[in-house]
Amino acid sequence: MDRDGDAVKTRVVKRPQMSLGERIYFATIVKGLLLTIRHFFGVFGDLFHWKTKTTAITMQYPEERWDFKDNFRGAPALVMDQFGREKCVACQMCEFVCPPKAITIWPAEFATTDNNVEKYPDRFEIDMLRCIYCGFCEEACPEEAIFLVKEAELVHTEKKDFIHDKKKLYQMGGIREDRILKWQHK
Amino acid sequence: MSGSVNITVDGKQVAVPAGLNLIEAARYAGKSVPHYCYHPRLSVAGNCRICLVEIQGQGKLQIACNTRVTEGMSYFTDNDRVRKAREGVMELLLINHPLDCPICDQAGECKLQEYAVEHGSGITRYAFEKVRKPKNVSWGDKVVFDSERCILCTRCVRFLDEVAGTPEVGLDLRGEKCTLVVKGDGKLTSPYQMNIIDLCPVGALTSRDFRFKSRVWFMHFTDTVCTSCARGCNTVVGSRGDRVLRMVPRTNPDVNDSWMCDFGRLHYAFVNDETRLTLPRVAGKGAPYATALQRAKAILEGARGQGILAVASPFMTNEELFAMKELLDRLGVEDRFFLKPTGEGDDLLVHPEKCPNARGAALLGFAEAPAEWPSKEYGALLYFAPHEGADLPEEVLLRAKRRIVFSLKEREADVCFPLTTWIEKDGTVVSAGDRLQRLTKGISFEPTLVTERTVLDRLHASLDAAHRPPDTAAQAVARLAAAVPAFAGVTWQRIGPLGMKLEAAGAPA
Repeated sequence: MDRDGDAVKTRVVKRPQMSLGERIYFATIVKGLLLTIRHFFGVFGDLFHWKTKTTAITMQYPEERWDFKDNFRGAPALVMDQFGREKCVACQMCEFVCPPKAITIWPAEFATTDNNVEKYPDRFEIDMLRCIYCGFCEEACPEEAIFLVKEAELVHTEKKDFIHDKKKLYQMGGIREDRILKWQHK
Repeated sequence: MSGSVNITVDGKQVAVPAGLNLIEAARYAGKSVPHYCYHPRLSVAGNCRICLVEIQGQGKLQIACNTRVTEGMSYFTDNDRVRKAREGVMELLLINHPLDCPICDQAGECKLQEYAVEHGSGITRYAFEKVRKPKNVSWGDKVVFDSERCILCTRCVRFLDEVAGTPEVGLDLRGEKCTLVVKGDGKLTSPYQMNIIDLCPVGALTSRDFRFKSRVWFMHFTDTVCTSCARGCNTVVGSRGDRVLRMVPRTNPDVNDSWMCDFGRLHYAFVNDETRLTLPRVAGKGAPYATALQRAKAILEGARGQGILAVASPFMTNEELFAMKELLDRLGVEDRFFLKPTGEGDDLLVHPEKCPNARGAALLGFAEAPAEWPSKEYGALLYFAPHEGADLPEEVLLRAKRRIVFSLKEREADVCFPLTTWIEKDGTVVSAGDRLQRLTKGISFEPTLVTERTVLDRLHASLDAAHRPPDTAAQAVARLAAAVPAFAGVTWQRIGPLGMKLEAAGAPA
């Protein structure tokens, strides 16, 4: 009966009965053994790098590496323009937008007054132990100076090595062709 | 003109004082009219044209800054015609703007940015090459000028002419080539020149001192009072990471209008000095506060029969001076003095007393340091060294057997306690004209630092178990008001952010 006291209709389901062959289990045991034997020879083949249908899809890291897509968000890095000039003007927008506060910039002023840029980062540090690879820095940058590059293997033995300084950031970022060229135009 | 007039702003009827201009009158109706060149404390120039409003019955739009309210006037600050005009003005002002907000110190507090968002169209229709003007021009060692960002509002021209009394800046050339120039060798000389940096509504004038130190949105702002002289100009201190980065004036019509002198503005290096004392020293060795307090207590108790010399500092707040007074009363100390650094003053703001609270020290029973110090020998000296400008003569120091000194830097003494600066504590000071003003804590230089009031109170409590020191600044003010007639009726709330006149103190300063 349900909550209102009405009679509930029921249907009796009959369990399937196993046949004699199934109850002996012999066929199933042989089937399992065959599978094991197939995999045994499959792995044996893997040792000699034979690509067979049965081998695992495991990537042989570090000999084999993943091919990252263009929109992959790896470690943030700084880029230079095609003339080898620093694009970052130390506006600190990335530092402001960075959710885990991984970025720290110490701005400085150029000694000369003949360029439009006036300002550059004296020190630029990204703490990769804090970075969450969100890409907000790249999005916020008004000078297109910081990008998330295809770099995901950050392994160090010292904690201080995880703090990427300006040298490391430019080494990772390299050169990026640009048409804005703030150094030359207004 | 007197009395009030009835006006209608955007359909809302309000009564406003007669003689107001339309920008100020609109505030009474809760409306704000954008403005660049208009400043309440300068003459009206009427050249930026962003404050255009529509006055009912007049065909053309009028500038709100140069129009005064009349009885029955009705005007609109936010209808379609006005909005269209403002959009046009913004487009004109931004035609040749360099758009270097990423490297501009004004970004974040820039009227161009704010009004472009609020009233601008968001796009430019100008397809030609932008006009180039000189950038990064040095106007002396305090001000940097960027002509491309300048909107020619002439606030700086008017300030230097009308307030500072040194007409040094003017406009040169015409049309798109028009630019600001400085008279003579192109360097400003006014001791109030840095006010034009605050006045500049855009990033054309920036401070050499503050340049690129921090973006404004990272900073923590504290409303406080300048302590470089007895004037007590109201200020806003900008800090980041517990270090002071800049000081700008805060409007207070009774003290400093909207201005402050360059000296006071740039006078904060001693706060950020990394070589400052941050822990007490006992006989030249670093010691925790508990040890230093124990030693100080022993010195004071041991010197009771032989006399104690107490020298306060006019950089102390009233509450600290009062805590010291209570301690000295307890010890029965007769010789109470304070050192007063003096210098030159001027007609505008700079006061000859180079300390914030000499008047407060006098009101709390400390005598100004005599030319001839009493030639007594003392058992102990309790000395608060002024931050600068004055110091106790060597022979007076040597006349005391034991010395307890409070100082910013380490000094030779039996016990040397660190001092805290004006931005590291809540308190009150008595500025020129017996004006009681509040200091507010904005930074803590080192977590270990303990304010002088706490040290004095703990010292007092160790001598007298019945001493119940106040905890907060408000409680300390209440205790002071209850005990000293000159401060009768004063509360932390009543002083308020703008301070109050200390009527009970009597004499004008």
